[in-house]
Amino acid sequence: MLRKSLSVVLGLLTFLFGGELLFRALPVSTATSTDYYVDRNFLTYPSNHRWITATGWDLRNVQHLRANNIGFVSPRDAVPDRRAVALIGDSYVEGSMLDARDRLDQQLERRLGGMRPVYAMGSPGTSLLDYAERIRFADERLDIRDFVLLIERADVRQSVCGSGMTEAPCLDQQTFALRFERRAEASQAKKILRHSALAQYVFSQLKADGGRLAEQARLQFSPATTKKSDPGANQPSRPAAGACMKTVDAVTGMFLERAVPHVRGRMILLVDADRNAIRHGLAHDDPCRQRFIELMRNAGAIVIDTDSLIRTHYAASALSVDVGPYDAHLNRLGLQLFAQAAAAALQQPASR
Amino acid sequence: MLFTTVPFILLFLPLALAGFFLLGRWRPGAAAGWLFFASLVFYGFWMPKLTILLVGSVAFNFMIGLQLAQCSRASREGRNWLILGVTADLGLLAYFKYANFFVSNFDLLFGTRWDVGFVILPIGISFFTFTQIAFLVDTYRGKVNEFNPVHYGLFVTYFPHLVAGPVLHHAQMMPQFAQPSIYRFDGGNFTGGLCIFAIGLLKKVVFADGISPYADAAFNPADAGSLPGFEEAWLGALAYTLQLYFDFSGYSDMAIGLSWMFNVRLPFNFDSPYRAASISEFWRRWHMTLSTFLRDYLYFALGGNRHGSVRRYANLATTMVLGGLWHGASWSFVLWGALHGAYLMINHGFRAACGAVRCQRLGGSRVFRIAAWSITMLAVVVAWVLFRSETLAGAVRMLRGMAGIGPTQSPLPLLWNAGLHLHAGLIWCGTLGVIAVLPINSNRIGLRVLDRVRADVGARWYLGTLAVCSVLFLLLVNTARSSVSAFIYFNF
Repeated sequence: MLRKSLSVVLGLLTFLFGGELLFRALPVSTATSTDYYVDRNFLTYPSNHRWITATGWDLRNVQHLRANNIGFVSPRDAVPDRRAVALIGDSYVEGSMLDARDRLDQQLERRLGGMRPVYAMGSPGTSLLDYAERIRFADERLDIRDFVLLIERADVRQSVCGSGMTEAPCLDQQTFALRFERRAEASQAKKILRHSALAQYVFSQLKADGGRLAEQARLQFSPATTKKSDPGANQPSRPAAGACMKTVDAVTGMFLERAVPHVRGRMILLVDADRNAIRHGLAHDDPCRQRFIELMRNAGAIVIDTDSLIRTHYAASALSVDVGPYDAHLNRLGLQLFAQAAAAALQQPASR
Repeated sequence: MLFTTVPFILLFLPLALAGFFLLGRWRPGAAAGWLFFASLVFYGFWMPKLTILLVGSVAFNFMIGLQLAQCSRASREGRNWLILGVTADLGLLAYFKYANFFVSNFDLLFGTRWDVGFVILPIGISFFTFTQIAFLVDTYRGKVNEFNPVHYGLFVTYFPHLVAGPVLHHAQMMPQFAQPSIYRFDGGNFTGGLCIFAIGLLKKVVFADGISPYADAAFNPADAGSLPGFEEAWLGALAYTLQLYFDFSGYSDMAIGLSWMFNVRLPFNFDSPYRAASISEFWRRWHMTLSTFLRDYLYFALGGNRHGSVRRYANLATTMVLGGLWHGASWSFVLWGALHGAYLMINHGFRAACGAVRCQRLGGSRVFRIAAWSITMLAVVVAWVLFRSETLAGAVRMLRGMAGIGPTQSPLPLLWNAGLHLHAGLIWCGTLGVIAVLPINSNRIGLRVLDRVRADVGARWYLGTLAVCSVLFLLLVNTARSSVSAFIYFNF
């Protein structure tokens, strides 16, 4: 009996240590350790933090990343500089799945002829109200005047408390009053597991989560277990127009209230379009997006509706502007279109 | 039901095993009946309506078998029963698998507009039909002695092999079902089987599914009308070559492992085919049970090599073309079979021209073996292009790309649109290619593990725990993904 028990324990340990060694040898995503390091209202990585990122169970698009002195992914440290441009957004700006030279900050800097440094301030899974906090930070700490924001289609919606993407300021779902929902400190167990490559693989690469796994397992009980890729699978779902109009008004109003006092130069918005619909020739009409663009234009921002850029691109080329069917982020080509448009706007003489 | 899913691993398999061994302690016949029933549930989970077809086919063939057994060997009456049985089996296969193919070609040829409607292909129909034809032929030849309906039903429907092989012979299976010992739990066999199952699961979930996007990235657009570039076409063809091997051999390993858990031994289906240095060696190592079936029941039936070299080559070609058609109703499968038939003719022709002594001398040369292996692999990879392509036009585009008659663009458009990188694909191909040609394969590992766990209780618990953890982890990987991929051979 003792021998059997020892054999079972040994088998279990062999699996755990073997798995740990295997995943340490593979480029599994390592811990990002985000926290409120440089400002109490938005998350960043620790200064000069180095980590690995990869996509999916099969570890695609591996990148070795490094945070700059203010905790954003950028090869350039941020120092106060009036000429600099702050590039703000979420994972689209961070572009962690792309080579450094292909990310938006690098492409924009090249488009500007290297005359103006571009400080990338992108952080995954954030929201429009987060961006306002970063604008404030860039103004107060880095003396920045010009801002380029890449607005992803879910950014407004994600500014509502409880969206799962709010880590500081957000608007109450019912009253649209401003609240601060800061992320709770990681548990001790999570802090320990961050150091395990096996645990990182399970939670970061497989995104193992009880509810999601149960749902996936439930689907396997259906005879039609094979699923073709859906052209819209990676796109965020669109809420009903009536409900989202109120949200757009409230979130945009709050954003302008918090951000505009800190914009001493230009605020250029690159508003992402429904690329999937454009590529597949599907009809798409998003009144909430149009409303957002209208409000921002009325407030004096330069809004670049990328719909026409994407449309023009697909009229001339079959090359996708998405990272892949498995990842709807913009790839090098898509960001090239965006960088080109942002650079052109920045090179225009200031009107205010 | 797929071997790689939660319903199978966490529900069906434990219940099937528990019922089998609990009933086996009481009455072996009841355990066999339980396994027969479980196999029908396994099949019905996917295609509930078509289970009736499977049961009907089993009952019909068993009945014909009984009639044949009552006739004297090679009698006229027996011959008539055999013709009836084989015709009905082939008729069923012709309707469900080939009706659309024949009618559409007939329409094309004669300008008619016949329509048989949409015919659903019952999973595994090729496997259970051929298995039963072999049973009828052998009964006619007087080689079958046992006619237990439950054992026969179990032999045909036995769930580990039902939908994608190995192609089983009644002589391999029915004597095993007649042994009372298989109905008693054996810890050694169970653990050994679990380890082999884990190896197969790894091959499928990680290796085959990991490399498949690189194959799909080239083949799917080629079928849709895009012309792949040189690098894309070669990467796609190599990726598919490896995907198919790890997918199908993974399935076969899982089937073998599952069977060992039930104390039943299935024949090996693969033996490192990509180590082959000739096409005939390749066919001795690839889908071995189908090769044996085609040899025994088609090539030999056509006369084999008994009527001179010209007839022998014609028989080889016919066997391979029909083997191609067995895989599916399309011209690309026919051409794939014909191409392999041509390869085999060249191979045998070369050996005949060289003579036995010179062939043996050449075989001893390292340079010759490397050259022979390279030519064999090239031939196999080119043929897989026909096998994988959904359309002949797609296959031609792929082959044009491989020949360098394609666009030279940067970035490579097909890979770009799939979000894939050439270097990552080459790493996959290189790694899996090395694993595929390693001298030690899963058959040998499985046999070693079986020996070890049978002899040593400590090793049994140690490896058993390791295998359980590995299976659960691979199940987690498979479940966490957005889609579950079926086995390629489920289509045949």
